[in-house]
Amino acid sequence: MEKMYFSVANSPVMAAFCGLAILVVLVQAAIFFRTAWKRALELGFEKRDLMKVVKSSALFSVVPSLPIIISYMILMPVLGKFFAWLRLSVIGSASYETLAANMAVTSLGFESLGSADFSPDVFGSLMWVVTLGVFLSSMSAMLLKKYDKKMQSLEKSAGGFGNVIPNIMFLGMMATLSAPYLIDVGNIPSMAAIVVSAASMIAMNAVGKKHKALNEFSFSLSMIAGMAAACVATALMR
Amino acid sequence: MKQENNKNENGRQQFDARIHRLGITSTLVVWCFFLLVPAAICVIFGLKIDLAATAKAAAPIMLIFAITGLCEKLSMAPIIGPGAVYLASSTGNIQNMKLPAALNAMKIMECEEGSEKGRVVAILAVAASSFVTTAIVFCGMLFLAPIMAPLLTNPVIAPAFDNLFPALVGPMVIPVVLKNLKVASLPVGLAIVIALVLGSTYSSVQSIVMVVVILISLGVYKAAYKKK
Repeated sequence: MEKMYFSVANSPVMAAFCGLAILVVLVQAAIFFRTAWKRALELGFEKRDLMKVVKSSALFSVVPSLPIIISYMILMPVLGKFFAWLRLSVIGSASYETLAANMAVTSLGFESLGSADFSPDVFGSLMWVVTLGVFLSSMSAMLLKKYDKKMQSLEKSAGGFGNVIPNIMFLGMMATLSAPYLIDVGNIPSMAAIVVSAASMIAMNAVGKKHKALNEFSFSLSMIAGMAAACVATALMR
Repeated sequence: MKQENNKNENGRQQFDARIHRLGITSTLVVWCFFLLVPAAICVIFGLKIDLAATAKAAAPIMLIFAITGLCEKLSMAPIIGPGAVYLASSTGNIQNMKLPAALNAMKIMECEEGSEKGRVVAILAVAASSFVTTAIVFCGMLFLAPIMAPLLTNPVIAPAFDNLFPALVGPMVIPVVLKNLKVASLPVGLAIVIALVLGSTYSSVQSIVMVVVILISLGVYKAAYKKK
Protein backbone atom coordinates (compact mmCIF):
# COMPACT_ATOMS: atom_id res chain seq x y z
CA MET A 1 0.00 0.00 0.00
CA GLU A 2 1.29 3.47 -0.90
CA LYS A 3 2.23 5.34 2.28
CA MET A 4 0.53 8.67 2.72
CA TYR A 5 3.72 10.77 2.67
CA PHE A 6 5.02 9.21 -0.56
CA SER A 7 3.30 11.91 -2.62
CA VAL A 8 5.89 14.25 -1.05
CA ALA A 9 8.82 11.83 -0.70
CA ASN A 10 8.68 10.53 -4.29
CA SER A 11 7.72 13.79 -5.96
CA PRO A 12 9.67 15.29 -8.87
CA VAL A 13 10.39 18.34 -6.66
CA MET A 14 12.13 16.08 -4.14
CA ALA A 15 14.11 14.44 -6.98
CA ALA A 16 15.23 17.85 -8.22
CA PHE A 17 16.45 19.13 -4.84
CA CYS A 18 18.20 15.87 -3.92
CA GLY A 19 19.81 15.72 -7.37
CA LEU A 20 21.00 19.31 -7.00
CA ALA A 21 22.63 18.61 -3.62
CA ILE A 22 24.44 15.56 -5.05
CA LEU A 23 25.58 17.59 -8.03
CA VAL A 24 27.07 20.24 -5.75
CA VAL A 25 29.08 17.57 -3.90
CA LEU A 26 30.33 16.18 -7.23
CA VAL A 27 31.44 19.69 -8.23
CA GLN A 28 33.26 19.98 -4.90
CA ALA A 29 35.01 16.65 -5.58
CA ALA A 30 35.93 17.78 -9.11
CA ILE A 31 37.46 21.04 -7.81
CA PHE A 32 39.50 19.18 -5.18
CA PHE A 33 40.57 16.68 -7.82
CA ARG A 34 41.76 19.40 -10.21
CA THR A 35 43.65 21.25 -7.45
CA ALA A 36 45.38 18.07 -6.27
CA TRP A 37 46.18 16.96 -9.83
CA LYS A 38 47.94 20.28 -10.57
CA ARG A 39 49.94 20.12 -7.35
CA ALA A 40 50.85 16.48 -7.99
CA LEU A 41 52.36 17.44 -11.36
CA GLU A 42 54.29 20.28 -9.68
CA LEU A 43 55.63 17.76 -7.16
CA GLY A 44 57.04 15.66 -9.98
CA PHE A 45 54.41 12.95 -10.39
CA GLU A 46 53.89 11.73 -13.94
CA LYS A 47 50.39 11.76 -15.44
CA ARG A 48 50.72 8.02 -15.96
CA ASP A 49 51.28 7.49 -12.21
CA LEU A 50 48.32 9.67 -11.29
CA MET A 51 46.11 7.71 -13.66
CA LYS A 52 47.19 4.57 -11.79
CA VAL A 53 45.92 6.15 -8.55
CA VAL A 54 42.61 7.08 -10.16
CA LYS A 55 42.14 3.66 -11.76
CA SER A 56 43.04 1.76 -8.60
CA SER A 57 40.82 3.92 -6.35
CA ALA A 58 37.89 3.68 -8.74
CA LEU A 59 38.23 -0.07 -9.09
CA PHE A 60 38.60 -0.58 -5.35
CA SER A 61 35.46 1.48 -4.66
CA VAL A 62 33.15 -0.69 -6.75
CA VAL A 63 32.87 -3.60 -4.31
CA PRO A 64 32.32 -1.59 -1.06
CA SER A 65 29.69 0.46 -2.95
CA LEU A 66 27.52 -2.60 -3.57
CA PRO A 67 26.28 -3.06 0.04
CA ILE A 68 25.04 0.54 -0.14
CA ILE A 69 22.42 -0.77 -2.56
CA ILE A 70 21.14 -3.10 0.20
CA SER A 71 20.94 -0.11 2.58
CA TYR A 72 19.08 1.75 -0.14
CA MET A 73 16.52 -1.04 -0.31
CA ILE A 74 16.10 -0.79 3.49
CA LEU A 75 15.80 2.99 3.57
CA MET A 76 13.76 3.54 0.41
CA PRO A 77 10.44 2.35 1.92
CA VAL A 78 10.97 4.77 4.81
CA LEU A 79 12.69 7.84 3.36
CA GLY A 80 11.33 7.51 -0.17
CA LYS A 81 13.25 7.00 -3.41
CA PHE A 82 15.08 10.30 -3.59
CA PHE A 83 15.94 11.28 -0.02
CA ALA A 84 17.45 7.80 0.53
CA TRP A 85 19.41 8.29 -2.71
CA LEU A 86 20.79 11.60 -1.43
CA ARG A 87 21.73 10.31 2.00
CA LEU A 88 23.51 7.21 0.69
CA SER A 89 25.23 8.85 -2.30
CA VAL A 90 26.96 11.53 -0.27
CA ILE A 91 27.59 12.67 3.30
CA GLY A 92 26.50 9.58 5.28
CA SER A 93 27.43 5.96 5.23
CA ALA A 94 25.31 2.87 4.89
CA SER A 95 25.62 2.15 8.63
CA TYR A 96 25.10 5.76 9.79
CA GLU A 97 22.03 6.41 7.69
CA THR A 98 20.20 3.27 8.82
CA LEU A 99 21.10 3.96 12.46
CA ALA A 100 20.17 7.66 12.29
CA ALA A 101 16.89 7.00 10.47
CA ASN A 102 15.99 4.34 13.06
CA MET A 103 16.84 6.68 15.96
CA ALA A 104 14.87 9.49 14.30
CA VAL A 105 11.79 7.33 13.68
CA THR A 106 11.73 5.95 17.24
CA SER A 107 12.30 9.36 18.85
CA LEU A 108 9.40 10.73 16.79
CA GLY A 109 7.20 8.15 18.51
CA PHE A 110 7.13 5.24 16.02
CA GLU A 111 8.08 1.67 16.79
CA SER A 112 10.70 0.97 14.11
CA LEU A 113 11.78 1.80 10.57
CA GLY A 114 9.69 -0.96 9.01
CA SER A 115 6.45 -0.14 10.80
CA ALA A 116 6.54 3.56 10.10
CA ASP A 117 3.75 5.24 8.17
CA PHE A 118 3.76 8.95 8.87
CA SER A 119 1.82 11.99 7.87
CA PRO A 120 3.70 14.24 5.41
CA ASP A 121 4.34 16.63 8.34
CA VAL A 122 6.14 13.92 10.32
CA PHE A 123 8.12 13.00 7.20
CA GLY A 124 9.23 16.65 7.09
CA SER A 125 10.44 16.34 10.71
CA LEU A 126 12.21 13.08 9.86
CA MET A 127 14.11 14.75 7.01
CA TRP A 128 15.25 17.51 9.38
CA VAL A 129 16.32 15.06 12.10
CA VAL A 130 18.36 12.90 9.71
CA THR A 131 19.94 15.96 8.08
CA LEU A 132 20.75 17.80 11.32
CA GLY A 133 21.97 14.58 12.96
CA VAL A 134 25.23 14.74 11.02
CA PHE A 135 25.46 18.54 10.82
CA LEU A 136 27.86 19.10 13.74
CA SER A 137 29.97 16.13 12.68
CA SER A 138 30.52 17.75 9.28
CA MET A 139 31.04 21.17 10.77
CA SER A 140 33.88 19.80 12.90
CA ALA A 141 35.88 19.95 9.64
CA MET A 142 36.04 23.71 10.24
CA LEU A 143 38.62 23.01 12.95
CA LEU A 144 40.99 21.30 10.53
CA LYS A 145 42.86 24.46 9.48
CA LYS A 146 43.98 25.32 13.02
CA TYR A 147 44.55 21.67 13.87
CA ASP A 148 46.70 21.09 10.79
CA LYS A 149 48.92 24.10 11.58
CA LYS A 150 49.25 22.96 15.18
CA MET A 151 50.19 19.41 14.11
CA GLN A 152 52.73 20.65 11.57
CA SER A 153 54.43 22.93 14.11
CA LEU A 154 54.35 20.09 16.66
CA GLU A 155 56.03 17.73 14.20
CA LYS A 156 58.74 20.34 13.52
CA SER A 157 59.31 21.28 17.18
CA ALA A 158 59.42 17.68 18.42
CA GLY A 159 62.72 17.08 16.59
CA GLY A 160 63.33 13.46 15.53
CA PHE A 161 60.21 12.31 17.34
CA GLY A 162 58.16 14.68 15.16
CA ASN A 163 58.94 12.56 12.11
CA VAL A 164 57.34 9.46 13.64
CA ILE A 165 54.17 11.17 14.93
CA PRO A 166 52.10 10.46 11.76
CA ASN A 167 53.40 6.89 11.77
CA ILE A 168 52.33 6.30 15.40
CA MET A 169 48.96 7.96 14.74
CA PHE A 170 48.49 5.73 11.70
CA LEU A 171 49.22 2.59 13.68
CA GLY A 172 46.86 3.76 16.45
CA MET A 173 44.11 4.27 13.91
CA MET A 174 44.68 0.89 12.25
CA ALA A 175 44.76 -0.82 15.66
CA THR A 176 41.45 0.74 16.70
CA LEU A 177 39.70 -0.12 13.45
CA SER A 178 40.85 -3.72 13.48
CA ALA A 179 40.61 -4.60 17.21
CA PRO A 180 36.95 -5.74 17.31
CA TYR A 181 37.59 -8.09 14.37
CA LEU A 182 40.89 -9.40 15.73
CA ILE A 183 39.25 -10.49 19.01
CA ASP A 184 36.23 -12.02 17.30
CA VAL A 185 38.00 -15.39 17.01
CA GLY A 186 34.76 -17.38 17.22
CA ASN A 187 33.48 -15.75 14.06
CA ILE A 188 35.04 -18.13 11.54
CA PRO A 189 33.94 -16.36 8.31
CA SER A 190 35.29 -13.05 9.65
CA MET A 191 38.62 -14.60 10.68
CA ALA A 192 38.86 -16.38 7.32
CA ALA A 193 38.33 -13.03 5.58
CA ILE A 194 41.09 -11.37 7.63
CA VAL A 195 43.62 -14.20 7.28
CA VAL A 196 43.09 -14.83 3.56
CA SER A 197 42.99 -11.14 2.58
CA ALA A 198 46.11 -10.39 4.66
CA ALA A 199 47.97 -13.40 3.24
CA SER A 200 46.96 -12.40 -0.30
CA MET A 201 48.20 -8.85 0.27
CA ILE A 202 51.53 -10.02 1.68
CA ALA A 203 51.97 -12.44 -1.23
CA MET A 204 51.02 -9.81 -3.80
CA ASN A 205 53.36 -7.26 -2.19
CA ALA A 206 56.17 -9.75 -2.65
CA VAL A 207 55.25 -10.53 -6.26
CA GLY A 208 54.61 -6.81 -6.90
CA LYS A 209 58.28 -6.03 -6.30
CA LYS A 210 59.04 -7.76 -9.61
CA HIS A 211 55.74 -7.14 -11.40
CA LYS A 212 54.93 -3.52 -10.60
CA ALA A 213 51.62 -3.57 -12.49
CA LEU A 214 50.16 -5.86 -9.82
CA ASN A 215 50.55 -3.18 -7.12
CA GLU A 216 47.64 -1.19 -8.55
CA PHE A 217 45.23 -4.06 -8.02
CA SER A 218 46.69 -5.88 -5.02
CA PHE A 219 44.43 -4.16 -2.48
CA SER A 220 41.21 -4.81 -4.41
CA LEU A 221 42.18 -8.39 -5.23
CA SER A 222 43.11 -9.12 -1.60
CA MET A 223 39.79 -7.72 -0.42
CA ILE A 224 37.89 -9.89 -2.91
CA ALA A 225 39.94 -12.94 -1.87
CA GLY A 226 38.99 -12.27 1.77
CA MET A 227 35.32 -11.89 0.90
CA ALA A 228 35.42 -15.14 -1.08
CA ALA A 229 37.06 -16.87 1.89
CA ALA A 230 34.17 -15.73 4.11
CA CYS A 231 31.71 -17.33 1.67
CA VAL A 232 33.67 -20.58 1.58
CA ALA A 233 33.98 -20.69 5.38
CA THR A 234 30.23 -20.11 5.78
CA ALA A 235 29.43 -22.83 3.24
CA LEU A 236 31.76 -25.31 4.97
CA MET A 237 30.13 -24.63 8.34
CA ARG A 238 26.64 -25.44 7.06
CA MET B 1 69.70 23.91 -3.17
CA LYS B 2 68.47 26.30 -0.46
CA GLN B 3 66.51 28.22 -3.10
CA GLU B 4 64.92 24.98 -4.30
CA ASN B 5 63.91 24.08 -0.72
CA ASN B 6 62.40 27.52 -0.20
CA LYS B 7 60.45 27.17 -3.45
CA ASN B 8 59.12 23.77 -2.35
CA GLU B 9 58.18 25.08 1.09
CA ASN B 10 56.40 28.08 -0.46
CA GLY B 11 54.56 25.78 -2.86
CA ARG B 12 53.51 23.56 0.02
CA GLN B 13 52.26 26.48 2.09
CA GLN B 14 50.32 27.89 -0.86
CA PHE B 15 48.76 24.51 -1.56
CA ASP B 16 47.83 23.99 2.11
CA ALA B 17 46.26 27.46 2.29
CA ARG B 18 44.31 26.81 -0.90
CA ILE B 19 43.07 23.43 0.32
CA HIS B 20 41.88 24.86 3.65
CA ARG B 21 40.15 27.78 1.90
CA LEU B 22 38.54 25.39 -0.54
CA GLY B 23 37.63 22.89 2.19
CA ILE B 24 35.95 25.42 4.47
CA THR B 25 34.11 27.27 1.68
CA SER B 26 32.94 24.16 -0.13
CA THR B 27 31.79 22.47 3.10
CA LEU B 28 29.64 25.51 3.89
CA VAL B 29 28.23 25.65 0.35
CA VAL B 30 27.50 21.92 0.31
CA TRP B 31 25.70 22.23 3.64
CA CYS B 32 23.53 25.07 2.33
CA PHE B 33 22.30 22.65 -0.35
CA PHE B 34 21.84 19.79 2.14
CA LEU B 35 19.72 22.02 4.37
CA LEU B 36 17.87 23.36 1.34
CA VAL B 37 16.31 19.91 0.71
CA PRO B 38 14.14 19.69 3.88
CA ALA B 39 13.63 23.47 3.94
CA ALA B 40 12.37 23.69 0.36
CA ILE B 41 10.19 20.59 0.66
CA CYS B 42 8.56 21.92 3.84
CA VAL B 43 7.84 25.28 2.19
CA ILE B 44 6.67 23.95 -1.19
CA PHE B 45 4.36 21.29 0.29
CA GLY B 46 3.28 23.47 3.24
CA LEU B 47 4.44 20.90 5.81
CA LYS B 48 3.97 21.87 9.46
CA ILE B 49 6.99 20.89 11.52
CA ASP B 50 6.77 20.42 15.28
CA LEU B 51 9.98 22.29 16.04
CA ALA B 52 10.24 21.16 19.67
CA ALA B 53 9.78 17.46 18.83
CA THR B 54 12.20 17.73 15.88
CA ALA B 55 14.87 19.45 18.00
CA LYS B 56 14.38 16.90 20.79
CA ALA B 57 14.82 14.02 18.33
CA ALA B 58 17.79 15.60 16.52
CA ALA B 59 19.82 16.69 19.58
CA PRO B 60 21.07 13.28 20.82
CA ILE B 61 21.87 12.07 17.28
CA MET B 62 23.73 15.33 16.63
CA LEU B 63 25.75 15.00 19.82
CA ILE B 64 26.71 11.36 19.27
CA PHE B 65 27.82 11.93 15.69
CA ALA B 66 29.54 15.25 16.50
CA ILE B 67 31.93 13.54 18.93
CA THR B 68 32.47 10.60 16.58
CA GLY B 69 32.97 12.87 13.56
CA LEU B 70 35.41 15.16 15.34
CA CYS B 71 37.55 12.28 16.66
CA GLU B 72 37.53 10.64 13.22
CA LYS B 73 38.73 13.83 11.52
CA LEU B 74 41.41 14.61 14.09
CA SER B 75 42.80 11.07 13.81
CA MET B 76 42.73 10.94 10.01
CA ALA B 77 43.93 14.42 9.06
CA PRO B 78 47.62 14.02 9.99
CA ILE B 79 47.74 10.73 8.03
CA ILE B 80 45.84 11.30 4.78
CA GLY B 81 45.86 15.10 4.98
CA PRO B 82 43.12 17.67 5.59
CA GLY B 83 42.17 17.93 1.89
CA ALA B 84 41.08 14.30 1.72
CA VAL B 85 39.29 14.69 5.06
CA TYR B 86 37.31 17.76 3.94
CA LEU B 87 36.20 15.88 0.86
CA ALA B 88 35.47 12.63 2.69
CA SER B 89 33.40 14.59 5.21
CA SER B 90 31.03 15.72 2.43
CA THR B 91 31.07 12.54 0.40
CA GLY B 92 30.64 10.11 3.32
CA ASN B 93 31.48 6.40 3.70
CA ILE B 94 34.75 7.36 5.32
CA GLN B 95 36.01 4.30 7.16
CA ASN B 96 34.74 1.64 4.79
CA MET B 97 35.77 3.33 1.56
CA LYS B 98 37.50 6.73 1.54
CA LEU B 99 40.16 5.89 4.12
CA PRO B 100 41.16 2.54 2.52
CA ALA B 101 41.11 4.16 -0.94
CA ALA B 102 43.41 6.96 0.27
CA LEU B 103 45.79 4.57 2.05
CA ASN B 104 45.89 2.27 -0.96
CA ALA B 105 46.76 5.18 -3.25
CA MET B 106 49.51 6.34 -0.89
CA LYS B 107 50.92 2.82 -0.85
CA ILE B 108 50.89 2.50 -4.65
CA MET B 109 52.76 5.81 -4.97
CA GLU B 110 55.07 4.88 -2.06
CA CYS B 111 54.16 8.02 -0.10
CA GLU B 112 54.66 8.24 3.65
CA GLU B 113 51.78 9.02 5.98
CA GLY B 114 51.38 12.76 6.40
CA SER B 115 53.84 13.66 3.63
CA GLU B 116 52.85 16.32 1.12
CA LYS B 117 52.87 13.83 -1.74
CA GLY B 118 50.70 11.51 0.34
CA ARG B 119 48.20 14.27 1.03
CA VAL B 120 47.89 15.13 -2.65
CA VAL B 121 47.50 11.53 -3.77
CA ALA B 122 44.88 10.92 -1.03
CA ILE B 123 42.69 13.74 -2.41
CA LEU B 124 42.80 12.15 -5.88
CA ALA B 125 41.84 8.77 -4.42
CA VAL B 126 38.94 10.13 -2.33
CA ALA B 127 37.59 12.12 -5.29
CA ALA B 128 37.82 9.13 -7.66
CA SER B 129 36.15 6.91 -5.07
CA SER B 130 33.34 9.45 -4.60
CA PHE B 131 32.59 9.55 -8.33
CA VAL B 132 32.30 5.76 -8.46
CA THR B 133 30.05 5.48 -5.39
CA THR B 134 27.76 8.24 -6.62
CA ALA B 135 27.46 6.56 -10.02
CA ILE B 136 26.70 3.16 -8.48
CA VAL B 137 24.09 4.51 -6.05
CA PHE B 138 22.54 6.52 -8.90
CA CYS B 139 22.24 3.32 -10.94
CA GLY B 140 20.87 1.63 -7.81
CA MET B 141 18.18 4.27 -7.52
CA LEU B 142 17.29 4.12 -11.21
CA PHE B 143 17.19 0.39 -11.88
CA LEU B 144 19.98 -1.59 -10.21
CA ALA B 145 18.59 -1.94 -6.65
CA PRO B 146 15.74 -4.40 -7.41
CA ILE B 147 18.10 -6.46 -9.59
CA MET B 148 21.10 -6.44 -7.23
CA ALA B 149 19.39 -6.76 -3.85
CA PRO B 150 18.31 -10.42 -4.25
CA LEU B 151 21.80 -11.25 -5.52
CA LEU B 152 23.59 -9.49 -2.67
CA THR B 153 21.33 -11.05 -0.04
CA ASN B 154 21.61 -14.55 -1.53
CA PRO B 155 22.73 -16.88 1.32
CA VAL B 156 25.80 -18.03 -0.65
CA ILE B 157 26.99 -14.51 -1.53
CA ALA B 158 25.77 -12.56 1.53
CA PRO B 159 28.71 -13.62 3.81
CA ALA B 160 31.06 -11.81 1.40
CA PHE B 161 29.35 -8.48 2.03
CA ASP B 162 28.73 -9.21 5.73
CA ASN B 163 32.50 -9.57 6.07
CA LEU B 164 33.53 -6.66 3.89
CA PHE B 165 35.26 -4.80 6.71
CA PRO B 166 37.28 -7.80 7.96
CA ALA B 167 38.33 -8.30 4.32
CA LEU B 168 39.55 -4.68 4.35
CA VAL B 169 41.31 -5.10 7.71
CA GLY B 170 43.49 -7.90 6.27
CA PRO B 171 45.23 -5.95 3.50
CA MET B 172 44.98 -2.53 5.18
CA VAL B 173 46.22 -3.39 8.68
CA ILE B 174 48.02 -6.72 9.00
CA PRO B 175 50.98 -6.10 6.60
CA VAL B 176 51.56 -2.67 8.22
CA VAL B 177 51.46 -4.13 11.73
CA LEU B 178 53.80 -6.98 10.81
CA LYS B 179 56.23 -4.52 9.20
CA ASN B 180 56.24 -2.24 12.27
CA LEU B 181 55.76 -4.91 14.91
CA LYS B 182 57.76 -3.14 17.62
CA VAL B 183 55.97 0.20 17.35
CA ALA B 184 52.58 -1.36 16.57
CA SER B 185 52.52 -3.67 19.58
CA LEU B 186 51.43 -0.94 22.01
CA PRO B 187 48.49 0.55 20.04
CA VAL B 188 47.31 -2.89 18.88
CA GLY B 189 47.55 -4.34 22.40
CA LEU B 190 45.79 -1.32 23.87
CA ALA B 191 42.97 -1.39 21.33
CA ILE B 192 42.48 -5.13 21.84
CA VAL B 193 42.26 -4.71 25.64
CA ILE B 194 39.74 -1.85 25.27
CA ALA B 195 37.72 -3.90 22.77
CA LEU B 196 37.64 -6.84 25.19
CA VAL B 197 36.55 -4.61 28.07
CA LEU B 198 33.91 -2.66 26.16
CA GLY B 199 32.45 -5.62 24.24
CA SER B 200 29.52 -4.68 22.00
CA THR B 201 29.62 -0.99 23.02
CA TYR B 202 33.04 -0.64 21.35
CA SER B 203 31.63 0.18 17.92
CA SER B 204 29.56 3.09 19.22
CA VAL B 205 32.59 4.75 20.85
CA GLN B 206 35.22 3.59 18.36
CA SER B 207 36.27 7.09 17.30
CA ILE B 208 36.79 8.14 20.90
CA VAL B 209 38.80 4.97 21.55
CA MET B 210 40.89 5.88 18.49
CA VAL B 211 41.86 9.23 20.01
CA VAL B 212 42.61 7.62 23.39
CA VAL B 213 44.80 4.89 21.81
CA ILE B 214 46.66 7.45 19.67
CA LEU B 215 47.27 9.85 22.59
CA ILE B 216 48.49 7.10 24.94
CA SER B 217 50.75 5.65 22.22
CA LEU B 218 52.19 9.08 21.42
CA GLY B 219 52.76 9.78 25.12
CA VAL B 220 54.51 6.47 25.78
CA TYR B 221 56.70 6.66 22.67
CA LYS B 222 57.60 10.28 23.38
CA ALA B 223 58.73 9.33 26.89
CA ALA B 224 60.74 6.40 25.48
CA TYR B 225 62.28 8.68 22.82
CA LYS B 226 63.36 11.23 25.46
CA LYS B 227 65.00 8.47 27.51
CA LYS B 228 67.06 7.42 24.48
